[in-house]
Amino acid sequence: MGAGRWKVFYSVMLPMLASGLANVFLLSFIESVTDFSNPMILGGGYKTLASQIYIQAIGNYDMKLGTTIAVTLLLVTLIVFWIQKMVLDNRSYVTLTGKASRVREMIDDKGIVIVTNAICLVISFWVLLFYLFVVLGSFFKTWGADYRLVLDQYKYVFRYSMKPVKDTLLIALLVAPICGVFSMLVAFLLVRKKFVGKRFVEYVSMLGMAVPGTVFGLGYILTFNTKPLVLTNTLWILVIVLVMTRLPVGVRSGMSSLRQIDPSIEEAAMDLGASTSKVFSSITLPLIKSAFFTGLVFSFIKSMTAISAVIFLVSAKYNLLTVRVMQHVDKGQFGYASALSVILMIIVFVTVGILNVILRHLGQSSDKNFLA
Amino acid sequence: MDPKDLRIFHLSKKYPNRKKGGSPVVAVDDISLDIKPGEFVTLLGPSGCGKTTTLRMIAGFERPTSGDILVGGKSICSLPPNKRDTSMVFQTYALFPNLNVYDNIAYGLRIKKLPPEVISQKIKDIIQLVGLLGLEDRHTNELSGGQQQRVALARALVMEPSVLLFDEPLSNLDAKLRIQMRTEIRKIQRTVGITAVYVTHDQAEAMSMSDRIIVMNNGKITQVGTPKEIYYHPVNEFTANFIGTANVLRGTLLARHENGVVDVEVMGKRINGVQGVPACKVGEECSLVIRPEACSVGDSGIFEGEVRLSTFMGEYQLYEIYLGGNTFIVHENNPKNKIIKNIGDRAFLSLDIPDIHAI
Repeated sequence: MGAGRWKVFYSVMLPMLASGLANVFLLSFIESVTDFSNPMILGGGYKTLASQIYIQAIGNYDMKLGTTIAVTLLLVTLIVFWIQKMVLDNRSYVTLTGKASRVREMIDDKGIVIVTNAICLVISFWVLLFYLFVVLGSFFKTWGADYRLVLDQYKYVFRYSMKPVKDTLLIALLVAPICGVFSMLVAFLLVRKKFVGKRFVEYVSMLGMAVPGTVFGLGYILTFNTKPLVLTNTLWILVIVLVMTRLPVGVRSGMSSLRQIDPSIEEAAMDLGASTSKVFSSITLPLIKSAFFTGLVFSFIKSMTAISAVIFLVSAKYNLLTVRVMQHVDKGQFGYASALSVILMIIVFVTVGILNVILRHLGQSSDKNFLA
Repeated sequence: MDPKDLRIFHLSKKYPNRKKGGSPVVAVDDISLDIKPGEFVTLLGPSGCGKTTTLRMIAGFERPTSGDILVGGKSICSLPPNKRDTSMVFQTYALFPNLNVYDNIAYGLRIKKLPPEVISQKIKDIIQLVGLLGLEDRHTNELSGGQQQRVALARALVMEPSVLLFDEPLSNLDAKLRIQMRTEIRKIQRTVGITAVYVTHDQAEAMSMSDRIIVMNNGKITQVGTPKEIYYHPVNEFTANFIGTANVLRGTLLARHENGVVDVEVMGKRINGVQGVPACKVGEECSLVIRPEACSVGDSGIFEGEVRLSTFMGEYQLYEIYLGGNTFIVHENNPKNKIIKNIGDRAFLSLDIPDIHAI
């Protein structure tokens, strides 16, 4: 109707993006306020709530102070999360319809394209720079003093730090399928079934998003340290914590995938004699395959790289890669820390690659074996 | 296949009102039906009349608030959908997108754990019957609408259910295909001899396919009868207007006779020997239904009026005649060799007394 491009952006797109922007704002706020590893390593004297929880509770053995800080942080995130839910829930879910949408016209105005490309390139480059420095750091003899390329760090790491690597891998490989299946089950129950306590289940499954990792970790160590449930020092407390913190993403993605499936497909399966579990395994699960595998991959990566929740829960028996990296950093052994980080990156990339191949293979035409 | 009868006793479905203190929403209001084995029955009515809810209660997807459903004399109300001996053909076909045609049809048979050779033979027979030869390996998104519909039909039929249910299966097809599929579905149902309940809002479908039509409105059954009975002898204005077009004139009941014949007065004229059993008392107002194709416009007739509309529709000339405060619609069939009246002309309306129905 005559508005120039800027006017359109300003008056139409910006308000529509407003809720998206609000969402981004709130999520970034929660991420930053609960972030643990960065302030610990880089913060120096700058105190943050999340890092102080660890320092007071574990460093100073002042559990009272630690839990007080934890509750404060929890209140902050819960309030922000609540606000976010109010903003988000007022939008409608846009589901895929069968109708094809008009192809988006790409903007090819040189002025805009070059500027936005430049901004994106700078950001990408900045991110790549981090990775580059870590890789380089693993090869330099001593960062800051001796820049000879050596393999000493790797030799040391392979000798002394392989247990954390194995432990982390084991835990991540346990967490991924448990979290994947569990989140699909919860999503299925929440979208398709009515039952007593449904609201409760919904909120509890979303807790992982609202509760900061450090608070989770502190909570678990306090709860499971006393009878009847003594799980500290075991593998399982780590697995449980990681499943619970990664659950919300899987459940959300499962729920949105399920909403896009026509419910009469599942009704048809029931009509032909399938029980609820048979419907789920033979029809629903294959249809939400991509959500399921995304959940798998995501929870795997996040388990490999998790630190805030698990830092409280590692023990003499089970140590995690990320924690070991932190311990090296604490001692100023940046070389070892970098080498371990590189190993971590390689493991993650390789495993995700394998999972992607499997996903593509299973995404092909159905076999008759699918149903058995 | 051994066709079974389907009986519904005082079936109701009420939904609680979301607002506090509001009365419940009644979707289905105390309906009772007796469907004979092998009969093809259609639930016909406008959107929201309760026909789909009734069908879903037979299938087991909705729980009745009260009442009972019996198939072959046995109550099925307490059974979940996967334990009932009914099969449904869905409006959106509801084919399994992750399976090909063969596996879609085989799904239910595999759940029954039938041996593969038996399954293979049954599928071969059903594919022959519905006309899907050569398409067994196709994926559902590689099929046309009509083919998808046939797969849905095959999938339901191969289960050899006691009752076959159809939920507006043709509404997603184009007009020509709809007409073709109507005939095919009916032919297949007759060949197999299965009891069928069909839901639609399309009265042409209902008329062309059914042994009996059950007209529903606002959760209640308004009339049950063969297509002819419903068309020529509607019991109320709603049914008269819903099936085809109806001219409804107000008249006064003058006298009742035996054999369901009455005398009426309409627009100042007395007409004797009209068929119908109106509910009103002698001297009160009753309604008269006359179908548009049953009358003629010309230079002589019972009533005189003014032509307000005269349109050539190909098969017939469409007239709207204004007489005595009513607008009367006439379909003058085969207008080629007839004298056509134009807008503004005075014209006479002629009709035969057997074509009038009093309600």
